[in-house]
Amino acid sequence: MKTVLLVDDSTTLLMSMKAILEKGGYAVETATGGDAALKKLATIKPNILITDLNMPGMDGITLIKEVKKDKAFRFMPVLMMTTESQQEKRNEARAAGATGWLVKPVKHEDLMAILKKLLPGA
Amino acid sequence: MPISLDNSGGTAVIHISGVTSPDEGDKLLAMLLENPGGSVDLSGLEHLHTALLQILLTANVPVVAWPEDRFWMMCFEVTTAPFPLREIG
Amino acid sequence: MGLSSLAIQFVLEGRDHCELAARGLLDLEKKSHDPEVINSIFRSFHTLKGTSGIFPEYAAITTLTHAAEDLMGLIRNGEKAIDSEMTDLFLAVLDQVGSWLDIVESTGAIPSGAQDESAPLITALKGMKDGSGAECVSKLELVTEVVEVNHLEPILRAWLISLDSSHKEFLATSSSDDVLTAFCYTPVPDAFFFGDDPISLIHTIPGLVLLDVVKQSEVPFDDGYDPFVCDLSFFAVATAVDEVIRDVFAYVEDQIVSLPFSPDLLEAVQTPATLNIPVGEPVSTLTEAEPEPAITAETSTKKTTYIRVNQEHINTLMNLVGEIIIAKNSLPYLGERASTIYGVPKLAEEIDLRHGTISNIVSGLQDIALEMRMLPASRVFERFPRLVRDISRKLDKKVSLVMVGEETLADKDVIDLLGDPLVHMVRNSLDHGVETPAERVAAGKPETAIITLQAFQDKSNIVVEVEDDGRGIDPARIRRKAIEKGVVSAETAAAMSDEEAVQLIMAPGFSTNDTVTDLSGRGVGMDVVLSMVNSLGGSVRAFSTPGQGSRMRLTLPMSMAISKILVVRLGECTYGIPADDVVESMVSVPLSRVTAGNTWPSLEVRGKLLPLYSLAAQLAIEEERAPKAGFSAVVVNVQGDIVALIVDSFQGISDVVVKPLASLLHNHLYYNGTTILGDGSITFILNMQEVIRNANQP
Repeated sequence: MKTVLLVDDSTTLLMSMKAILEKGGYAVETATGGDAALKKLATIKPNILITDLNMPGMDGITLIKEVKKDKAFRFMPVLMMTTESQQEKRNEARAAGATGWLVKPVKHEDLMAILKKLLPGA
Repeated sequence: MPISLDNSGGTAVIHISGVTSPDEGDKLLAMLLENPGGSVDLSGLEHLHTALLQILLTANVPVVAWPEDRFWMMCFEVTTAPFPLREIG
Repeated sequence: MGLSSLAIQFVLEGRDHCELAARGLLDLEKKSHDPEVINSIFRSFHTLKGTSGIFPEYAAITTLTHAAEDLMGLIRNGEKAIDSEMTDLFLAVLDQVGSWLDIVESTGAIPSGAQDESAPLITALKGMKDGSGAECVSKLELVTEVVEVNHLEPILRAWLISLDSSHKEFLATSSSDDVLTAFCYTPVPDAFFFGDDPISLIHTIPGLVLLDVVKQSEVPFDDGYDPFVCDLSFFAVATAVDEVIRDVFAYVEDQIVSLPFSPDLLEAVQTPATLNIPVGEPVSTLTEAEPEPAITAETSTKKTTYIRVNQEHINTLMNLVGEIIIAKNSLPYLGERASTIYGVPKLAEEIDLRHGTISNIVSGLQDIALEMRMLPASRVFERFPRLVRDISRKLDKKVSLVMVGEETLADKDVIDLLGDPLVHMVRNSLDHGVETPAERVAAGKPETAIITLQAFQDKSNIVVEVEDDGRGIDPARIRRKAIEKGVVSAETAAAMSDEEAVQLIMAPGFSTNDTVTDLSGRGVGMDVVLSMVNSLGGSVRAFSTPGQGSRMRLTLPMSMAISKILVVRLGECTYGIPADDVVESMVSVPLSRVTAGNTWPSLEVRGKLLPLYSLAAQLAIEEERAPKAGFSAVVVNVQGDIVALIVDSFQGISDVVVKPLASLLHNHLYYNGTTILGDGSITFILNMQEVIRNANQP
């Protein structure tokens, strides 16, 4: 089973997405901020990281940069969640090493289709 | 293990099976370099990461068995001459 | 072709304006605020906007050029000052328009996503117009991505064209039942580190019918191989609509291009490319810096007439002319046989007379056929202002490019083949020749270096020179390097003149700079240029004055198709010497004119002593031997080297079609190609430069 590490400061969002993902056959771990995510990363070794852009403390882009520094995660796909109005941030995320982005609110079927592309053979 | 080496038949056969990740690139590369003249068995393959596909294409290693999904065979068939895409020189 | 004559006119004129404006922009960097130049750029955008407006289906061009015109208008009115970022943006706009024009020309339509494609450019133009400077920078990054996408489309088209006929048939049949979309995906080299798995994306595409995974470069498979640099391109066709494909590649849209199959695309894939043929006026002569003031109404009635001819037809015509020349050349032999074998001297005379008449007609026909294929050097020069600007900016060097003789004509094939060697030579100049501004000032030179690109005609050759006023090539350093790299032995190097030593930069395995820069990618060097040019029957020569600059001279036959040769006989075989190289041919030479020398005998010709060699010995057909009384010799002049060569006899001058050489001949350096003579025999055409170079080496 593939493991997703989900990072967002909103617990409501974490819960709703966790439900969708688990229904889709993924194992889900959550973190409410960048620092917490970095701590979890080493122990759970997820197959993909999905993080929010705007979070108190470490923001999504800094988190991506930190994660990509670790050789163990150099090839791991990373998705960043943004709002419709934050299009410029997508390039910034891409430059930081993100694979792609999700536009909030994230649609169920979009999420599944994207994970299928990024995590083949699941 | 998705990648394993079988030397029992005299010549080296590298078995690649299941879902592979680029982290296995170094291992596959080393196996191919240490066993020139070897071949590859893909019969149990589910997904070949592009990095590994690229290694196999560059090494020009013969594939002795294919997975069920015909897609992987298409990746190895050469239909045209290579195209220079990036400027060389 | 499906393109109306009005649309063809629009494409041709549009291209002229793109080029004119691009040139203006580059000029402006040198002399900013020249109101004439600014005005002319403004007018080009204005005209592009106006003329594209005639075609509602090209609205994307209108919108984009409108935005560019608006910003340029502010610059013209002095409300904004143009800076290099704006120049970059305007150039990107012109590139975009240019690539659309190419697509319009080949398919008759503009890509469906054109408006979206140009949206970032328009946003950036508007951003600059409104003066939000900071934002502009990030928009510009977007812009460069858009430009790169367009590079992929011609490659995808070329791939489709290169498919073998069974695949094409398959696609033609499939397209009648299904929606087909072709696409090309070229991931960035560090794609894997972004979590991308390109093949996984392709695997999710429904209805994949054709897939071609192509390595972009020939990387050796050894210990040094880096498996994590993505070096693959994916070409494919799927029975899916364009939107589905685009959706799959949503995160990497800057790395893919897709083309929905339309009847036009199918036709373009099935039929060979076309070539524009100028009638009357030569193609775009934009050499003059001052274009005539062009107002929309005036330009649209500009009198340059083009007809479009399938390039295949021109090639067939060339081949037929070649055949008719060979057939014609058999007439003198026939005449000779009529007289000597059949004993009808009267008929021989008649045949001779007819031969003369046919010769005249054929040579007229040949001239026209050759001229049809002629293109001006400007076609290959036009890329250089941009190239020099971009590279010199990257290198922090100041360089001004001067181009001379862009109107010089040469065969289309020659012009096309000139591109790569020239790019290489210009890059070399920028990289190694031109010093940094600080170094130049310290050396007492003006800060800005000058690179001159010059083309001219020399006999039946086109000569292109790349000259710079940089640091030049130091022969001592070249000798040292060449010895270090094992290119020559220390003795050979010491025996070389400075001029000869400089030529060593073209020796295989030689590279002047220890550090490999990413700009000229010095993995391959001048030796590649040399072998490329040699294979076309041309030559390269380097000249240099240390501290003052260097000059590379590239000589290529103006037309590769038909040449005049002097046929000489050596024993049983005949050889062709390019007539351009021949000064005179001499028969029954008395031995009294030969002086024995230390190494070689000399022949006295009009008061001058010329080195005398045996051609047969030079070609390693037989041993060098002393000339016999009453021998025959040909005097040749190859780039200033004049020598006399002993031959057995002369067979006359002939117009021949040169066929390229099968490369297996071991001493093929001496041969440019082969040809079939009037009597049906095969003759080698000699590369006199190589023959003489060998002769002059003790």
